[in-house]
Amino acid sequence: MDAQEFKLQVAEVVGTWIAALAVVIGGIFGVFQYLEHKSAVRVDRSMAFVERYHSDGLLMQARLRVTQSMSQHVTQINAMLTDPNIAPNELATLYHSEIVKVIKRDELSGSLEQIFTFYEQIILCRELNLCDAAVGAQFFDTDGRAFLRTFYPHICHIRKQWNNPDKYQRVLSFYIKNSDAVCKY
Amino acid sequence: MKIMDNFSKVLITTLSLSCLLLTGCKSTPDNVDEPECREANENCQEDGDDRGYDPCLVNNSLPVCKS
Repeated sequence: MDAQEFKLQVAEVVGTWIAALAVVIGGIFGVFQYLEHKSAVRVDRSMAFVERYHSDGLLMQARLRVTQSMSQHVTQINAMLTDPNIAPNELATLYHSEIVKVIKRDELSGSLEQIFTFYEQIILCRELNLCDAAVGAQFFDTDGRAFLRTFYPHICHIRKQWNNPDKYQRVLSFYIKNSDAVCKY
Repeated sequence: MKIMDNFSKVLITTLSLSCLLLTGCKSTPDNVDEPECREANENCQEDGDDRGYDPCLVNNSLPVCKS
């Protein structure tokens, strides 16, 4: 084998390796790009929920109605929650009936159901991995948890009224860990 | 060994470019900016206490707060 043949063989081997490396690296890059794209689509879907949450639609009207009602009744609710004469085991029952009364008086049932349904939709979107979990958590979990803690009596009430123990189960169990126990009061 | 030098250059260039492209993925940092506060010293991090009414912040002995 002379020097020229050796060079040609080396060139062939090195060329093959470079081609193989390029294919592998290109493949890895493609996979990264695909995952990145999927992630971006998930974020876009989540942001569509955020826009809906803050837009001037029915959902915002429902949220405003609930907020207005709460601002009218918050003093009496807080007075009840901080009343030292109420035993801790009675508190849940009293809170439950007070919230149900407020909802009935201010006709909040429709608004609440709209908001519960919205929270259920975003949770479902997260659970199916169609929406970005981090975006959903940052934008909705604080509101959602507080909202469920405040208005869970309505869920208990309609479960009883409609004879449907699974109504809003997804949203209730997502935000309240002992969700099976809260409707027993 | 001029041919080897050329291939070494090609190999190094290809690898460098591939590494650059791969490191480019996810290179944009996640947004960790804190939300703007109304006042300089105000703690406006979302800690669950600043949005919406929450009965557990008034009395956490409600069964719904045990989570």
